[in-house]
Amino acid sequence: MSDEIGLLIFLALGVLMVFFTVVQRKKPYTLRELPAFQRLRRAIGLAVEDGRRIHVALGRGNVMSENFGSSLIGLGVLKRLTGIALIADRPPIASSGEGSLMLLAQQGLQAAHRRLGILPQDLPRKALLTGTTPLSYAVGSQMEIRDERVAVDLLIGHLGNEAALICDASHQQGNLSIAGSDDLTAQAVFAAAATHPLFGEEVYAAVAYMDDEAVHRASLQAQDLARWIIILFLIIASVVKLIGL
Amino acid sequence: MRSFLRSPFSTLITLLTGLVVLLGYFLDIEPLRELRFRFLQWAVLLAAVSLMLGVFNLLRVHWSRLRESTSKALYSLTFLGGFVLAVLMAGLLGIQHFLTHAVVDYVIVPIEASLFVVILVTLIYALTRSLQNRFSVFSLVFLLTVLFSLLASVPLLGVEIPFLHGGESIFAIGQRVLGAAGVRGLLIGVALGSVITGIRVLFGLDRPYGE
Repeated sequence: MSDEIGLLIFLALGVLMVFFTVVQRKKPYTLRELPAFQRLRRAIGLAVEDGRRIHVALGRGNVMSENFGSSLIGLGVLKRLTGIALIADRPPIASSGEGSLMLLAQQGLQAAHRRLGILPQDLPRKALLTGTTPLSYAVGSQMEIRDERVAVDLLIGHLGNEAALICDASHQQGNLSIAGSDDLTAQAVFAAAATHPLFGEEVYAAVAYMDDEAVHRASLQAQDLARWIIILFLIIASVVKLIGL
Repeated sequence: MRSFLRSPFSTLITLLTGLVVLLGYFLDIEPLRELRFRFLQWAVLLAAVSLMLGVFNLLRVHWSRLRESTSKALYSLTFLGGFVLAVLMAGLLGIQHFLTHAVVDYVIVPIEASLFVVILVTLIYALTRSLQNRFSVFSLVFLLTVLFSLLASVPLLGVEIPFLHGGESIFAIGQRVLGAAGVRGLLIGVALGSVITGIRVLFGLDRPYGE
């Protein structure tokens, strides 16, 4: 029974997304302002002008695990950033702690290059696996931040408390760090260590804030509606329990 | 032409395999479950191969840095030397040999332990920095929560403070109620975001890693 409810929720969210995508064309959904993405837009421009790079830490989300969703967002952000940064011939670099993530990052970089009619060069250095354990990944990413003239660090993916080391390297270089993860420990670390931490579902909105595609705005709208339904359900269930029904 | 053909083809494969795995998870139909199991086995194999490719990629990057003789060459040399040594030891002596164990116990484990201490120091520094640079109600609440949580985790010099220590203290109740509520709120957001991202990728509405 519970499995069928799960499938129903999945289908309902899918239908909502399609419906809102159609509605978007007539009336675009207004996104609330998130300071992190406002700063990011400015910082990308400055980094491009200054000839410095943007570093995307994709984390160590495994393609077989449920936490890969945030890694997919990181990959989406990397692909969009590449399109912008290629204007100055300084494509972003990506570090990952998982082999499959590295391959997908290289493919995303290649696709962004091809879209602009540019031949991708030295892909192994631009998207690399810096370590296979959490700590070796973090230390490897620290070295990339120090050596590659990075101006902005985006930590988007599945990370743990090792993210503190990456944020620290970013701070030591005077970089802007914007960080979000599906992991609660990482979110607590970001609250203290990142310039702009992203909490809860904010990290999943990153792609919608970076492009103007209807489907991304629609998915945010569906997400917001679903959240309100859950809140209402929780309140009603609490009241029902309180009055003993 | 190749990319034109490749993109819809790979999207179709994503859609079909994704749907089979999803439906196999939710519906109790034997052929679907069998197919789902088979696809997941293939995915595990591919994930293992991708890890090997990742390691080869890392070796290639360090080898090219070594050849360029940049300032990073020393790190690259250390990495390559360590890799060759580890492979030779594990390959020739076996992973059960006492020398292989010694490398793990006396080199890798202490280094990782020391990195954990570095994380702790880094976090304390980050906390003070966040109070200096962006002082707000949020950072104050964050600091107080950290301090009270640390104080509540162990009795201070053996002295138990009534409202802080013990399972039924005000702090413990507050932590259970407010903490659990906060965690649930964040997890609901994360779960919704994950599902929506999954739907987008599954139906080919978003291809974060392709054209």
